[in-house]
Amino acid sequence: MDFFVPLDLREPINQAVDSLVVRYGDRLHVLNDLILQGLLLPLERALRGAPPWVILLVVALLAWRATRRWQVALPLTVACYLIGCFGLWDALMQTLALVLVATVLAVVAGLPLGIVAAHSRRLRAVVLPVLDVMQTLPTFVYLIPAVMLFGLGKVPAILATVVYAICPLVRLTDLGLRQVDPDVQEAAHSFGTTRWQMLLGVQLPLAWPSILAGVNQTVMMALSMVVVASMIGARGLGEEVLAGIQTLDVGRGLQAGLAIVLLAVAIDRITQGFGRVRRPIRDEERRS
Amino acid sequence: MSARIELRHVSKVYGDDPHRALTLLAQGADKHQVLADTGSHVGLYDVSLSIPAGGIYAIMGLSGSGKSTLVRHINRLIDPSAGQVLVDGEDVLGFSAARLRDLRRRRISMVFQHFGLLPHRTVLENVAFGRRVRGESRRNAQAAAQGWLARVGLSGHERDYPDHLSGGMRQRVGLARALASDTDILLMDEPFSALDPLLRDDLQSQLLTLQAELGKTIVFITHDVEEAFRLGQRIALLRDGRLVQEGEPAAVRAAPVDDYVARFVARVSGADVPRSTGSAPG
Amino acid sequence: MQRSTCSTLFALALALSAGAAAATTSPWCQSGKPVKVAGLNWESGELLTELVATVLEQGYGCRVERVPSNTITIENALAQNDIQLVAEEWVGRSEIWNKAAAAGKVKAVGNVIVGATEGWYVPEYVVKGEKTRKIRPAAPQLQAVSDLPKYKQLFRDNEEPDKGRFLNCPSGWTCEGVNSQKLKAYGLTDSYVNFRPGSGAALDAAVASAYQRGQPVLFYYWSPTALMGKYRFIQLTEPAYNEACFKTLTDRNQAKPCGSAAPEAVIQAGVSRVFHDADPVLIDFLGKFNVPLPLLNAALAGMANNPGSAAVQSRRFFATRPDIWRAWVPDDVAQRIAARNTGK
Ligand SMILES: Nc1ncnc2c1ncn2[C@@H]1O[C@H](COP(=O)(O)OP(=O)(O)OP(=O)(O)O)[C@@H](O)[C@H]1O
Ligand SMILES: [Mg+2]
Repeated sequence: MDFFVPLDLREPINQAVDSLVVRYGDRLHVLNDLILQGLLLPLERALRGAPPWVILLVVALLAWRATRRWQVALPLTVACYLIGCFGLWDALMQTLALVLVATVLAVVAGLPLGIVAAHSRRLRAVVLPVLDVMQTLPTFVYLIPAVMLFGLGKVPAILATVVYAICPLVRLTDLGLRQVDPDVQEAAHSFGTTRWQMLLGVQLPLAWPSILAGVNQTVMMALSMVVVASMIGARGLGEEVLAGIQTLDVGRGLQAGLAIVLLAVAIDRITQGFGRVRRPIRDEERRS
Repeated sequence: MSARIELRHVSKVYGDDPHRALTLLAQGADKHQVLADTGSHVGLYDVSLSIPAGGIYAIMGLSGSGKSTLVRHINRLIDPSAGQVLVDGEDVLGFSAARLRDLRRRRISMVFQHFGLLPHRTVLENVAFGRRVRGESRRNAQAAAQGWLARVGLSGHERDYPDHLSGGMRQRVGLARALASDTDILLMDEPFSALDPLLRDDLQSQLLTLQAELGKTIVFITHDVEEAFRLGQRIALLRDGRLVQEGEPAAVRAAPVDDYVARFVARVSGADVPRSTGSAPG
Repeated sequence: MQRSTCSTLFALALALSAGAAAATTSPWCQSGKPVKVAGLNWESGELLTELVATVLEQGYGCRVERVPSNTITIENALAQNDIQLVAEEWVGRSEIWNKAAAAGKVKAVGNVIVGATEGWYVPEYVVKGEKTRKIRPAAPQLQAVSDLPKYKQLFRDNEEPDKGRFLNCPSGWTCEGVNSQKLKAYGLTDSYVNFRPGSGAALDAAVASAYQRGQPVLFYYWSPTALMGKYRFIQLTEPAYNEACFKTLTDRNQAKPCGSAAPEAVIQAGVSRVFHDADPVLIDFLGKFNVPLPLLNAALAGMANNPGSAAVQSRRFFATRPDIWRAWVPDDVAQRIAARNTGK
């Protein structure tokens, strides 16, 4: 007798995936089309169609609004301009659209999850471990089933990105909500707030810095997925990197990699900036 | 004077198994024994009180004696483990969620030791909060808030954020916020404890004036015996979650029921603080 | 003193006994150097690599290191003798190989697979329909690549809905460049998206998923492969092979390539020149190394149903088909392999 009891998950899993593909594949492909036509393509068309200087202007204004400092806003704009100089403007816009849509979907799904986790200990005990698994599972493991179910291209890439990048948002939303000063919540409660009034008027605004930190991390993780996403045919900067590596064109790969870094820095500074503009909770408020 | 608020045999045990703790207490165990035996904290045990309408009712006791626990039963921020809580003759424990919200929105408001102001809203928005919560338009709520801010002497600070204010100013915001709800009952949990003595004196006077003018029923929590005697038309003393003595200040001073009360009272009897620093209640 | 004499004698004896077996000893492996073998990542490549490595290890006592990478990297490494052996080389298909071969840096040996195919495929049901799944033929007239512009809506790319989608090889594969040139040559660049799936696994997944759902899909593929064994595809006809035209297809920089089917595939073992010259014994083995196509397809289908098991299929092959592999090597080597593959 072997010490290890033979256990084979491969066949059942393969069969499950196959039957999912046969039974729901067409419907999921329709969902794919919906996300594409309803969300990604319009955004991508707008970004790719707009004159680059308009986009650069928007970047500059956003960066300025977020940081209130031209010393930050200007270099960020120049960084984006530089990506254009590399001849990667179009790829940049595709990647940007991908990351933005992934982030929006992650927020739409992650914020409620975080709220649920913050309000119910039992649900938190379910949600957080599941997220841990999603974050640690090697991405390629669910990339390929995603291709089977949703087809090749940007949508499965976005969905895989959401799966991977949603984690910090849920965590930081949960944390931020649970760290809201109980004294303040009690006071609001004493005035007869409903759950919604409490959530929208007190808890979410006070957890805002934490939530934005989560959004920031989610965007960063989405960006880090760009290259992996290109392995299932998502075009953009990631494809450049992948092609560069696979054709031994180190220069091409590095240049596109640098573009991703520049984009990451720009998005990071801007989202962080917005996190800071909001009024922080001062500690004197809670001395006791 | 009819009883506006009544507590009947209210007990509160913090812990998993309040019934066991209550049984022990009924057998004569004290708070510390219960904690040792069950790991549960006793907040209150078998407290019965009747708070008359109009006037300031002061509740005092040492730290941990259950004052905050008691006052939070009145608007049900805390549910009792046993007993009844009546407001205007109605048992609030039987209230639906909607009625309870209504109670908090229109009949009882509260001031907190640590202010509990919303740090992300301006002073004006904070004061208007209670009215906004109950659905009034922003314009109406803020107009009313403006009036109350003026009443507590904070005109001109409408657009400030709470953490730009001094402690005394913040508590005035807290007071204005509670007053802006136009409730008949005002709960105040050590509202002035975090303030320095001069400010406290000032605010006490202001409170007496306000009470005289508005005739509200105020439940005032304090661990400061001088404050209790100065403000309270009646006084209740808590110790380890039990009500020790209750009555008019003069009566309590004249006949303390035990050493604990006597030691408290001794601190004021010499100074004989006049109750009429502000305008006397009418 | 005594001691050293003794050990000298012992060493001499060893050398003598080694000399006796000289005819079937690999000089390269004898010198202690490992044979670095390209770890090919497609099915047939995986299996063939496993077979070659088994013979080298068990038959010739070599130390084999598998170096996983993609074809372009592998061909570069082979030219520089960073690796010594590629078990499945589609000779003449890439610029890198052609240049290295012209410069004498690499050599192709033997006929590893005979009768392999490659080209542009659609599932059979697209043209003929399929009764069992009640699929109607969506393009009964579709036969040749020249028909494709008419069918761009059938193979619609949902990311660029006014074009069709052609599933190319992932970038980094030699075929990716050839297919990109073919799109130009066949005038399809305006009607089709040159979609690079990013990885072989993604390409397989996309094709398999489409097939299981009975949906149309247009893709590049080749045999021997598991997918070819498992599903029924139809190859689109291309202009006949023309050497001059095919040259324009293998060169990415040709702006105006002309169409041509792939030449008949010459699949050989690729070795570095250094290795080729240093080890006639192993080159002799590689010269005889060949797996008949039907057997290969069967083995690949077995692998597909039992993923990741090139090693399993290889073991089964050595245990059950001595009739084939004994022809590759001298008797004494065959004995050693047999000794390791009988019993359990
Ligand atoms: N949430 C809680 N969980 C467990 N025990 C509690 C809780 N709140 C209060 N207690 C306990 O109940 C008892 C009464 O507490 P309470 O806060 O009512 O006292 P207090 O008189 O208001 O004291 P202080 O003057 O310090 O505010 C204390 O022993 C305290 O430890
Ligand atoms: Mg207290």
